[in-house]
Amino acid sequence: MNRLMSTIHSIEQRARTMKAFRTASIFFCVALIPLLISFLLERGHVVAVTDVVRDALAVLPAVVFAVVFFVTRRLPINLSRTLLRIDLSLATDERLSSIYEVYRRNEVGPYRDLLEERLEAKALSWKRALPLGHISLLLPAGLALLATVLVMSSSVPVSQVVLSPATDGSVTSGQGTVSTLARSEDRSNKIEMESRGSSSPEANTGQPEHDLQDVLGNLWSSPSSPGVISGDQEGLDPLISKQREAAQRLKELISQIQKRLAEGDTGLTPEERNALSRLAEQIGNDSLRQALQELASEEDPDELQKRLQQTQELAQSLQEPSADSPAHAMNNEPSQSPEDDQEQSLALSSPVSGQPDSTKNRDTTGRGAPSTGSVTHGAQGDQLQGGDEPFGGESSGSGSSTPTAASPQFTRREIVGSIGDSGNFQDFVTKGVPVEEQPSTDGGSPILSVNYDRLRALLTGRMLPPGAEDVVRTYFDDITQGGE
Amino acid sequence: MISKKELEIAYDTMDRLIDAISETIVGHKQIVQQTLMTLLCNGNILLEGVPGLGKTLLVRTIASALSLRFGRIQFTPDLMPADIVGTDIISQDEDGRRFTFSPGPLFANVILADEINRATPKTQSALLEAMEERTVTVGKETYPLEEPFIVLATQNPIEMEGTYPLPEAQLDRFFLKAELVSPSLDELVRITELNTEEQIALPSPVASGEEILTCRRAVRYLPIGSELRRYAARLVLATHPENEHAPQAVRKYVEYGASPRGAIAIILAAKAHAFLCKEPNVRRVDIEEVFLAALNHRIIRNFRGDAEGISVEALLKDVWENTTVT
Repeated sequence: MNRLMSTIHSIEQRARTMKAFRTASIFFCVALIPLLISFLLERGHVVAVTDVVRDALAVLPAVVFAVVFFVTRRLPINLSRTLLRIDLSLATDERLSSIYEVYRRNEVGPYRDLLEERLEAKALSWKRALPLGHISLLLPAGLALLATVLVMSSSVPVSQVVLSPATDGSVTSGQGTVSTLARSEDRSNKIEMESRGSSSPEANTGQPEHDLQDVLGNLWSSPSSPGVISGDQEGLDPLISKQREAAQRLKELISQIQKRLAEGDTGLTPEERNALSRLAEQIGNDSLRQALQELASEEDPDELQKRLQQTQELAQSLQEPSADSPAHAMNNEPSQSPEDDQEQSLALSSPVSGQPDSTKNRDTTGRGAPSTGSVTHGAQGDQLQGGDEPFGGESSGSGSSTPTAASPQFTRREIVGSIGDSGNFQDFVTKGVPVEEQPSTDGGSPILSVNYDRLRALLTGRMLPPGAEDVVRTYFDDITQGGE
Repeated sequence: MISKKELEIAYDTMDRLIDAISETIVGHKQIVQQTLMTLLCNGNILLEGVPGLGKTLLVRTIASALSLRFGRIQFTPDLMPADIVGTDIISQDEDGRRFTFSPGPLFANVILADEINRATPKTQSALLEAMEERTVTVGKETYPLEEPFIVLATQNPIEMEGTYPLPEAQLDRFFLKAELVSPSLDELVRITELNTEEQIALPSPVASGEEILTCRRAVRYLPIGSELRRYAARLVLATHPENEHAPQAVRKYVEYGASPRGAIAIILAAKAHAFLCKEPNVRRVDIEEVFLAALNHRIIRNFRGDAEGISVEALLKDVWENTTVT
């Protein structure tokens, strides 16, 4: 093989590579489309994309690029055309394409000698005649960069995207974002960090976690069925665990305070007050929360000792294992005792559980107890603190909620009736749910049902993530045996 | 396959021929070149120009320089086919009377068909077989013509009265159509010098028929890239109004595009052009040089094109500009 032949061979190799690169770039760009679409759909709350799908879509362009590149690289190219292009680009009087034709036909003669002589006399810088092209390089690179940025931004938890700390230390909750709730791992980590942070002074400077979103996020990203909210006990475990951990930390904190007071100190330190307030935010039990809030604001050393003792006893009762677990409650088994109700209320203050609250010190109009903590929650935060507001109040920033047109007021009333063989209706239905009753035709117990239209309006007005409606619907289907 | 020595002979022959012609013909370099290209490609050329531009002189000069037999046919309306191809005549010898074929002026190497459009179509058609097949059939006998053979026809674009435009079939058999233009000032001065002060001397023979055939072989073996060949084919197809790559003007004003002979003519002429330039391969510029001459007599305009006075040359320029090389 003479020098020209090897040059032509090199040109062919480079042309193949370039063609493969261009083709692969096109396929790469096309393969990015599903990723971008999924991102947009997720951001638009249309669908929830699981981590597996997102990762697959993120890897897909690279895989497609590699496969297309190697396949296309092996395909033949029109070398004559390539050589002619180089000829025209380098102004070589079309000698490269002509000598290739001579070689291809295996012709010998004076013309071949002349062509070789004239081509070799001219230094061919043929590589500059085969540029990759800016578009071939920049377009895929730009799209890849864009996709990377989008994927990275989509993986930021909602607490960092939606929730923003206010200047006065309160936290304003925006619209519930289902897509970000899907980041179960982030959410679990957040819960854990939050739990730890409540016992340390530094945690007070952080962003308080939104309990409902935590629960929904965990339910949403349930491993059993990613992207679908599950109503089983497994999805509620983190919250239960969190509540119990909070009770445990409370116990430890009280012991620590008692020990310090026993050593001669006369009051609470600011850090301890903050930690107590922080814990009060996380406790679903109203009695305990109120006790903690009063304890945090107590200045009198004598009263402080008493309150410490009361709080410790109350927390102790919450630490004891209960036969009536939240899972039990999910199975529509009624509470057996007030203590059970209390413990259940602490363990499961989330409305998702549909757990009734045994406390009687507030009405059912959606107004929760005034929050005295330094951190106030928005729409869905109120219900979590109160534990009796199933779908949260309006975001007022003051710890109380007022009904709006989207959240019609519901008048508390005593509903008499039973659900099948399970027991009293009141033990199952969370207050505030639009339950309707109709007199029985045979003079027996009234027929109970849930008005789904009103319920949906309520859920929509309370910004409940769309997927969570199914949980609520399923729950009420279960307890009313089909409903309307 | 041509050898290096043959190629050198061919180059030398062309040099001598061009020098000899240049001594007699002033200007018209492109016409001379196109005539030689036609000679090298074993074709026939149609020279079109107003009277007095030196068409006949050009043909006579080439014939003289080639030391080939020269035949001239002055076409007139009463010219009959037998007048050009020959006829059987009764001859008598010791064996008695019998018909013998008397060859016409067509039996030569270089034929000047002067003012070919003045003859009737019947007579014009008598040239068809000779131009394409290089044979002449009289009665039941077919006579081969001697190689090299070339018909150089002239026609006058004016004085159309009493003329018979060449039929398309005959036009297609002309390898190239060259249009003579008026000489420049310097050329005209030189022409007057040659014609008023000294006797015009036709050149002595500088090339034999054998050398011309060697040149033809050298042209045939000149390489051309396959993509350039495709390019030439695309150029021809673009003259067809029904072709998807035809420019809008062609679709609008052309009735029939160039035939496959047009593509052959382009490539062969390009090879001859490259050979005359002593290039070892066909270049795009070679195709560009011969494009108009090879196709401008093969495009038939439609009524609209005729009525609006759209020239074939303008249409071909449109084709050239709208057809990409790769």
